[in-house]
Amino acid sequence: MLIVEDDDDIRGLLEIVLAQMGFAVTSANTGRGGLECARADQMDLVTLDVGLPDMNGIEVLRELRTFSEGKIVMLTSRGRQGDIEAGMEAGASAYLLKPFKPGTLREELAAILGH
Amino acid sequence: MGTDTRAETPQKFSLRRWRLSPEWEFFALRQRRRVLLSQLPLTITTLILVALLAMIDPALIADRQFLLGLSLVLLLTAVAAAVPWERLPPLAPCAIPLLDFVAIGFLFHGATVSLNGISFLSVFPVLWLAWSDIPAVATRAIAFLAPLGIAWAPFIFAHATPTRAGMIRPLLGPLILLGLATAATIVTKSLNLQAQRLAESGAASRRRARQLDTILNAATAGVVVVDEHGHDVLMNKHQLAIHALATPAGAVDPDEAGLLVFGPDRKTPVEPDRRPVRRAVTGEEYSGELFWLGEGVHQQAMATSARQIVDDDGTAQGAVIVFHNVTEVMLAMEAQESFVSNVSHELRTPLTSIVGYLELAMDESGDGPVGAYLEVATRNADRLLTLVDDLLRSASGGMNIAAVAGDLAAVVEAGVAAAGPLARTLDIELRCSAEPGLLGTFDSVRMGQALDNLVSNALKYSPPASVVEVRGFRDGCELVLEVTDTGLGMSQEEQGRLFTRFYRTDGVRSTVIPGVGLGLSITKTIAEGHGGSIAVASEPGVGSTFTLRIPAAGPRP
Repeated sequence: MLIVEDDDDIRGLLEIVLAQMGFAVTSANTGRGGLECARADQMDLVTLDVGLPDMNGIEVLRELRTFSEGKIVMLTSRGRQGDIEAGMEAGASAYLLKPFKPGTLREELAAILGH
Repeated sequence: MGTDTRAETPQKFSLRRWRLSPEWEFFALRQRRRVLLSQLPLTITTLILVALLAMIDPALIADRQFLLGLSLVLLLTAVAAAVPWERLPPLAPCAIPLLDFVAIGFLFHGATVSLNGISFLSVFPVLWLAWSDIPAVATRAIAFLAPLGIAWAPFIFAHATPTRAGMIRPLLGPLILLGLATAATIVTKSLNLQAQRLAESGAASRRRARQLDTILNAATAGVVVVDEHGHDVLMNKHQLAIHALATPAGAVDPDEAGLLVFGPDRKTPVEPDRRPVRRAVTGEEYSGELFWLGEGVHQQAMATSARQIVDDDGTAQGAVIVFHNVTEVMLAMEAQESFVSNVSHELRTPLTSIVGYLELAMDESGDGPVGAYLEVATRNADRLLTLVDDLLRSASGGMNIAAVAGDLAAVVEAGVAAAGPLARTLDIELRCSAEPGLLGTFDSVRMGQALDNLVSNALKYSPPASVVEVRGFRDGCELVLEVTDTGLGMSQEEQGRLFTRFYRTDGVRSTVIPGVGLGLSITKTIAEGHGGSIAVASEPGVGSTFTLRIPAAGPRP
C-alpha cells in the first residue's frame, strides 16, 4: 500500500498503524512522488492527503484513477461538503477526516477493504 | 386589485418621481390675460348684437350714440389687452367694467328703439366686479346704480322731463342686477374661501413632501416606493446609486428582472419572482433578506426589507422597499470565517499527531503510572479537538442541510440515549418524551447535532440531582424539540446575545464548565438552515427552556 502525506509526523503515524495492520507500506511526501510509486508498483490501498505541497490531492486522485483500481482513501482536515463531493466524484473510495485516532483508522480501513 | 392583474403589468424599477399635473386654473393666469378674458364676453356679445341689428335695422348701425358705445367697448377691450396690469394697483382693472357701463349706456340709448333688452349687457360688468377684489357692498351698489343711471340718463344728462312711469318702469333691470350681484358676490366669497383652504392644504402637503424628500435623501439606505402595479413612484438618491450598481453594462433602464440580483452565494441569480420588488408587489412583507447586487468587485450586499402601503379601506396601494448596504459587515464576516477556518485547519495537523501518537503510546504503556499520565494527556487532547471541530463547523457558516423524509422521534430517542452515560456520571436525571411518528423532512444528522448541543448544554449547566427534560412534539405544521433544564438560568440581556458565536454568559465564564460558546450558534444555524428558529425562555437561578422549531414540510427550496 501507499501513503501520500506531506506532514512527516502524520506520515510516520500512518506508517506505524498500517504496518501493524500487516500492510507492506510505501510512502511519499508529494503528489508527484506518490504517483511515481503507484506507477512502479500496483497498490491495492492508497491513503492520500488532500493538502499536498505540489499538487491538490483531488488532482492526484484523478491521475491515479487513470491507471489504478485499488482503494483510495482521502485524508483531509478540511471537511467541506463540496470538497468531499468532488473527491467522491473523482473516484475516492472513502473520505476520512483528520484528526483520526489509530483505533478508528484501523476500523475504517478494515470496513473499506471489506475485512 | 388581484395578483393576476399585477402580474400582467410590466414592472419598472426606474426613477419616476411624483409630479403634480399642471392644471389649467383661471387664477393662475397672468393678470393681463385675466383682464382680457373678463372683458371678452361683453365684446363678443356686443359684436353678435351688432350683427343681429345689421339684419333688422342697418340704419341703426350708423346711429351716433350706438357707434360711440360700440367704439368704447372695442377701445376698452384693446385697453384690457394692452395695459400691463401687473404694474398697476390691484383695483386698477375695475376701471374697465365701470367704463363698460358707460359704453352700455350709449349702446342702450342708441338702439333702444329696436332692442331695449340691450341694458342686460350690464350683467357682464356686474359679474366681473363680483369676482374682483372690490368689497361686496360696493359691487351690489354699482350693480343697482349703474343700470339705473343708464336708464335715467335722459333725465340726468339730456334734461328730459321726468315722469313717474318713466322713472319707475326702468327699476326692474337694476333690481334684477342687484339680485344677481348679491348672489354672485356670495358665490365668489365661498369660492375664494375654498381656494384659500386649498392653497393652505397644498402648502402643507408641499411642506410634507419636502420633509419626506429630505428624510429620504438623508437616510443612508436606498428607498424605493412602488404602486400596486409595481411601477416606481419614488426613489431616493441612494437607491439611484444602488439601481445603477445592479444595472448590467449597456442596459438602459431595465426591469427588475433584467437587473443583476444574486443570492447569498453571490453567484446564483435570484428568480424574477423571488426578487425584492416583485415580492413586495405581490403583497409580501419581509425584513433583512440578503441579496447581492451587481457583479465582480463592484458587487454589494443589501439587507432588504419590504412593507405594504394600505389605504383607509385596507386596499393595497403599493409597497416601500428599503435596501441597506451591508457589504462591509458581510466581508468582515467572511474574513473572520476564513481566518477561523484557516487557524482551525492549521491546528488540526499537529493535533492529529498528538492524538495519534498518544494512542500508540497508551497501547504500549500498560497499567503503570505512565498509562495514567497518558490518559490525562489524551483526555485534554480530545477536549482541544472538540473545540477545534466546533470552530471549524462554525466557520463553515453556510451549512449544507440534506433534508429527507424521516421521523424526528427517532432522532430524539437516539440523542437522549447517547447522552445517557454523561447524565449518569453527572447524576442528572435525563427524561425523554417524544410523540411517536414525528414525520417530516429534515437532515437527521444536523438535527441530531442540534439536539446534542442543546442536551449537552443543559447537562453542563445543571446541578447534580436535577432533571433535564427533552421533548419532541408536533405543533401545527411545525416539529418542535424542547430541552428544559433547572440550571443556572440567564438574564434577559444574556438571552439576547446567547446565539452569537463565542458568547458565553457571565455566570458560565465564572464557573469551571468547559466550552468556547459555539454550540448554540451552530444549533441556530441548523434551525435556520431548516427554515426554522430557536428560542429560549430563562430565569436566573431557575433554569432555561430551549425550543427549536422547524417546518415539518422541510426547508424552502
